[in-house]
Amino acid sequence: MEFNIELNNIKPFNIPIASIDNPKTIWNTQTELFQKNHYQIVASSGSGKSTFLKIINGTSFNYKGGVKVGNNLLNVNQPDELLKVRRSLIHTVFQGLKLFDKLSVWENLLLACDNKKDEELARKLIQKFSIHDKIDVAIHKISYGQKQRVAVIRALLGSFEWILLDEPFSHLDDKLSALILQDILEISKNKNAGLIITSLNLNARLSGFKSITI
Amino acid sequence: MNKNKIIFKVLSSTTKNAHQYWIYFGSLIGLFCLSFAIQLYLDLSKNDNYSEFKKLKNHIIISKKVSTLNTLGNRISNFSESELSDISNLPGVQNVGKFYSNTFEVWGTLSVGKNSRKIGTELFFESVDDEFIDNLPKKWKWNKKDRIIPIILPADFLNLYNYTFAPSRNLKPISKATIKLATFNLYLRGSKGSRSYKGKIAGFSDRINSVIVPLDFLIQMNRELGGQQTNTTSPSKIIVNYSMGEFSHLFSFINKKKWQINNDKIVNEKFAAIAKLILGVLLIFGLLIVFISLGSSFLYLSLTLYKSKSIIESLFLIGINKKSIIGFYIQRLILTYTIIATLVLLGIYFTKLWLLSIFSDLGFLIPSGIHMLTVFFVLVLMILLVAVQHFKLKRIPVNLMSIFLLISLMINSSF
Repeated sequence: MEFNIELNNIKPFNIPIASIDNPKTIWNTQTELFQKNHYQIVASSGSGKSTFLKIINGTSFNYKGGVKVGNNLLNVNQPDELLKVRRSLIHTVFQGLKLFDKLSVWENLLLACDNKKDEELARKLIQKFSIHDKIDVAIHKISYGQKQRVAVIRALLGSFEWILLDEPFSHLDDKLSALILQDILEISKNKNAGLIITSLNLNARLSGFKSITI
Repeated sequence: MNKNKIIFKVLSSTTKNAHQYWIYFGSLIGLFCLSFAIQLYLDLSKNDNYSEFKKLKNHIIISKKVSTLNTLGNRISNFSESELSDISNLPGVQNVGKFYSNTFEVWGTLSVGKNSRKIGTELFFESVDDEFIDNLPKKWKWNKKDRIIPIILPADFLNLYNYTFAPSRNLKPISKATIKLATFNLYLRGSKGSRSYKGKIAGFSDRINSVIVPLDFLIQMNRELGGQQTNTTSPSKIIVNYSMGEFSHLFSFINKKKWQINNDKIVNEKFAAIAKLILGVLLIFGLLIVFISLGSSFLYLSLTLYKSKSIIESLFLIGINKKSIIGFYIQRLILTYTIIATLVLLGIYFTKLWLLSIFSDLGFLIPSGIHMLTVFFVLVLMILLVAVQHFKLKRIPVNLMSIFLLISLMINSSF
């Protein structure tokens, strides 16, 4: 089953009207984001990138219009359905990362694991993203760049149909960013998952990614 | 590591707070007072002594003191009509009953033991209006044709027989039910003739310390055998029915007149009043503390949720289900309330052990142990509290912005 995202005339209340009325932007349009594609949103700070991702993953309902993921219409009055969407359809790397400071790196990742296979993948990625020496260290004791890597690994664990990445490499060097992105692409490809990534770097257009204008 | 354990670990990092112990200590004290009041009430209402108190209440038997002059004059002082009128007019006095005595001789015989050994004694009869008799038997009315006379004995008589007379004569103790089955011979003799009847114990009185027969029977026998009318105007002993809480007027009148009353009943009444007062204070005090401390514990839960807001948000963002989060708080509540319930029940048990000796010194026996209803009350209350808090927890929304609003609402509704 395809889990395309249907956007039905989304008009966020916290986005300037000029931007919403601009026909080039995704706002106030009938748009379908296909699961087989990868999307990139490149825009300046405060333009609504995070708002867009929050609307898609059902953490913000501060808008007019409707969002459908597959057959699931996101509805604030159906909290259990929203949790299911976040759990098994759309995984997100949040800008604030939303990791648990008092827990260790491994404990943070275990929260996203559904089975032993996920745990194996987590161990593999920890090694690959060079944070294996921090596995038992509490999150508040590691650097922001390391935290970003933990957040990316967590988003890649368990089953998902979409992965949303909100400026995931802001504190990483280009080499490590490229390496991590390669793994993200590989895992999402294996899972046939769609991908949306936001970035501040207006020059960093990723090849093969469709562009979304905010 | 189990995922729930991790969730519990991350949530418990925000629930460590010394204030909670004070709040739960308050709940413990309040619940103890409330449950102990219930336990005491159950003990007292179940207790035979207390049941007797309740029957005894509102009634007092008054007689005049026997002086040397009475002895020399060979007669006792009776109540005059004006005295009876004065008593009737006292505040709180509802009714005044007169005791009537026999004016003929009574002899009773009974066969007891394996060898049907006959024991006999001279007896006396008294009568009073039926409304003043406690435990009035169903078969109390007497007709002229009846050969069996129903008799009410003081409850203490049976105790005297069982604990004093029977052991001294190597006789078996007799229960109330057994003695009611037995009939004995009554021989009545007066200046105008004699009669034989059968007597049967119809009941036992806790209130009247005398041998009571139906009033109709006594009046008729006095007339037919004694040859004189029963003195209905100036009795030597009266029984007064008064309103609870207004005994002081009657008591001071009796003291003023230097009459005598059944003091033991007054002691009992005072004891019952004190017990009631303790119960009332415990109940009000317990309810007050329970309300305050439970309000505080609800507030504490709301504040804990508020402090954990960002963690709960993050858990919801990665799709952790509500049940796991609610489960953490409910598990803690169940653990806390289980400890409180256990301590409350232990407290009741040991306080009762302490009270048992005090009560028994006062001649008042209460059952040992904890009544099942008290345990039931404590458990139901605990379950109710957990259920209410569970209901509150279920209202946590998974949507980020709503969490703050809802928790604010919960804090406001906690009191």
